[in-house]
Amino acid sequence: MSILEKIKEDYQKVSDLVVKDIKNINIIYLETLVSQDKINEYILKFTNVYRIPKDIKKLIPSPNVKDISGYETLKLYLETGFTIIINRDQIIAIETKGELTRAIETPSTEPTLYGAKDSLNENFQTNLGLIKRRIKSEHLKDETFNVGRYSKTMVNMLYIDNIVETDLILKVRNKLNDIVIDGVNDIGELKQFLHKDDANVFSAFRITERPDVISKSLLEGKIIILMDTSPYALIIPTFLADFINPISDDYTKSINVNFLKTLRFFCFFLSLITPALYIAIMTFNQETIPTNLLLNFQNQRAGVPFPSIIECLITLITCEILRESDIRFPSKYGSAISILGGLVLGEAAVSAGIVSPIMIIVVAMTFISSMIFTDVEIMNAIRMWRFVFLLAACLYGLYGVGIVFIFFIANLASYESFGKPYLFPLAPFDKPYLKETLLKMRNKRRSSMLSKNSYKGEA
Amino acid sequence: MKKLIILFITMVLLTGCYNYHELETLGITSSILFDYVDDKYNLTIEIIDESKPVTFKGEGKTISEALERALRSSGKLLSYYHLNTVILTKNVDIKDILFYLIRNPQVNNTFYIVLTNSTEIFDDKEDTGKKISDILKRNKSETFFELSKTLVDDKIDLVLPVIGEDLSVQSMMPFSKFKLTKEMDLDKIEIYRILLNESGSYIEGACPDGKNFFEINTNQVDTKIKVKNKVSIDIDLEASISEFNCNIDTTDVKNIQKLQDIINKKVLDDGYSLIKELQGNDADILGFNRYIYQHNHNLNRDWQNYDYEINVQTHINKKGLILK
Repeated sequence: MSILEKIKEDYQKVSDLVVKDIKNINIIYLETLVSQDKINEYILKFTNVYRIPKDIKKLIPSPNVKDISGYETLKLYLETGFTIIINRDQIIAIETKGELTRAIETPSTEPTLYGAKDSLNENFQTNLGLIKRRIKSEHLKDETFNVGRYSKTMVNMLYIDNIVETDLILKVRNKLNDIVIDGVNDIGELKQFLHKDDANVFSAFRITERPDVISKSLLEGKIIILMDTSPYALIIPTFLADFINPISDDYTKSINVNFLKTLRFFCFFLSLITPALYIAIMTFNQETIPTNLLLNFQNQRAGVPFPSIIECLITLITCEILRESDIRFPSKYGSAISILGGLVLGEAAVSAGIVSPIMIIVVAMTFISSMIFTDVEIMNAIRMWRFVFLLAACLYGLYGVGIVFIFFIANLASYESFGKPYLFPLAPFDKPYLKETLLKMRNKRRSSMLSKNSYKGEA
Repeated sequence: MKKLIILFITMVLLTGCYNYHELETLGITSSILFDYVDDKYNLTIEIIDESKPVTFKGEGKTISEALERALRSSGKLLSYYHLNTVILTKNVDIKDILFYLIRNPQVNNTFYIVLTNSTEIFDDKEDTGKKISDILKRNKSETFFELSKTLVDDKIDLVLPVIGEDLSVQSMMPFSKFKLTKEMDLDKIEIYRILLNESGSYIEGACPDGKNFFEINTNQVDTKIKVKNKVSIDIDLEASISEFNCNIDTTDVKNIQKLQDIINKKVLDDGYSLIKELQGNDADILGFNRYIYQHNHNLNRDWQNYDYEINVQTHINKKGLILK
């Protein structure tokens, strides 16, 4: 059976397969994936010659022409928008991909006041281009993998070969090669195959849509995973400290930024334990706060029919519902929900005597603090632990909060992201990386945890 | 694993919620008045309920019994963590009360202890305990935490403020081995504080011509007590003039010297008279016994047998004059 017949047989009931026979060559492509203009420009114009030469490559002006050896490769190229030409024994693929993507837009999940305003989109070529515009070096390597038996999604691993640790490359390469799945739709799905630790709620990856974040990570000695059809990139490895440090810190004067960095670190704990501390103090450890404050709390609590913990759970869960509906609902209606929720929580619940005003303050404080983190994964992790802390507080008071806190720190300290400790640069302590994340200081060196190549340049 | 989960759940269910109290069920105690009449403790507890003070009374043979009876009529769970003041009448054995408070783990240690002559001091509009504690804080009294040092050490005696019906401090009561002695006038407080090495007291002196008076404020006090054959007390005062009605020129060094001499003499006289009065009562509130013990390691309270010598050096370094 000839290759043409085989294709025709395999692609029965595939409506967009086009097979053209012009003179003695066959032109095959999937019309939904290709750009008709390119086919006209590169192929059809030049087939109008008297006799087609043996090596058709001489005729085709396209910049991207590939020789095809096996049938599987042929199918892969066909499915990715190439046009296949069968000329006697010669089979070639010509790049004629159609523009199935949107333009480069401003970052939506990681906005900054200053700094670059471009973000990744669904087209892999564009994404790679945005990164290569920032790092113009032959040392920036990218390895391609095809993931998914049906989807055959192109996944790329990017690194700078003389900065990154070779062990890390091997580890990630092996994990990518080992993935067995029908298809992946998004990079968020892909990351679950790379790190299979379901016991810990914290994320071992950071997802970003900003090319400048990617470029910075590459220069630190990290690995970037890009995936075609996904407008986000994975940064490997990721530490807890990375989540609370947006890239905009690098673009501002350091003495001002250090205050904000400390504030963010404080907010991390605030959003974790504020409700738990409140419950512990209200129901167990009344001696820990000044008398006037306690009397104030007592006055506000008077008339609320529920125990403090129920009151707290009502408010927290209402807020979670509000946030979830705000995310799910189309953004045009989102503001309406916020207003409604704000009214219900802030005014009506208090005047109806279901919750005390101080509880609204506590929960609002918690949520405002947690909004400092843009990454959804870390917000979810904090929420999970917030409820654990709350449970301990309602059973054991401040003592319980202390116990859970020890457990929390132990849990984080034993967690690893691709073999690197998650609490880095605090434990183990590392000065260069600390100066990059938790504080901002002049730093000449690259962290030894991430790279053997330590000299970074004058700071 | 199953066993571990069962163990964990059992642990939480059996040990959790110990000491759980909702805030509105607590009666936050502001002050307790102890009285002892006819071999029985009479207690009055003042709690703050929705910002209003309410008092409850109870009597019993022991303190716990009296407290328990006072609680019955309150309907609330009393919390002593926010105690402001403990008020004692002169009938009460102070040692019993203080040691009861020290033993009780549910009491804070920042409250004040006062003596009173009257038991009718509570007001149903104002938080009396808080008011007394504010007054005492203003008078630089010692809190329970500071007093507790004197409780464990028998080489120093207790001194407590005495308040009147209008809650103002009327005098000080030095104790001799936890027994009441004679009340000390408030004029003695200034010299008492100087001997305790505390600055900020005011000393009044007559002018050199004897007609008017002037007053100085001690900015810095350095009192050193040394024990050899006798107890020598060296007082070094850095002072500024606060009030001045004398008819002399303060820019003249000789005049200042005269004023310093007057103050020196005044402090010296007051010091001797205070020590004499305390010796008469055997109330060692200045802790001379401790200094003597550090010198000769003798456990006896033999401070009465020593001679006392006071040396005063006053330096008036701020005349408080801008215009001549």
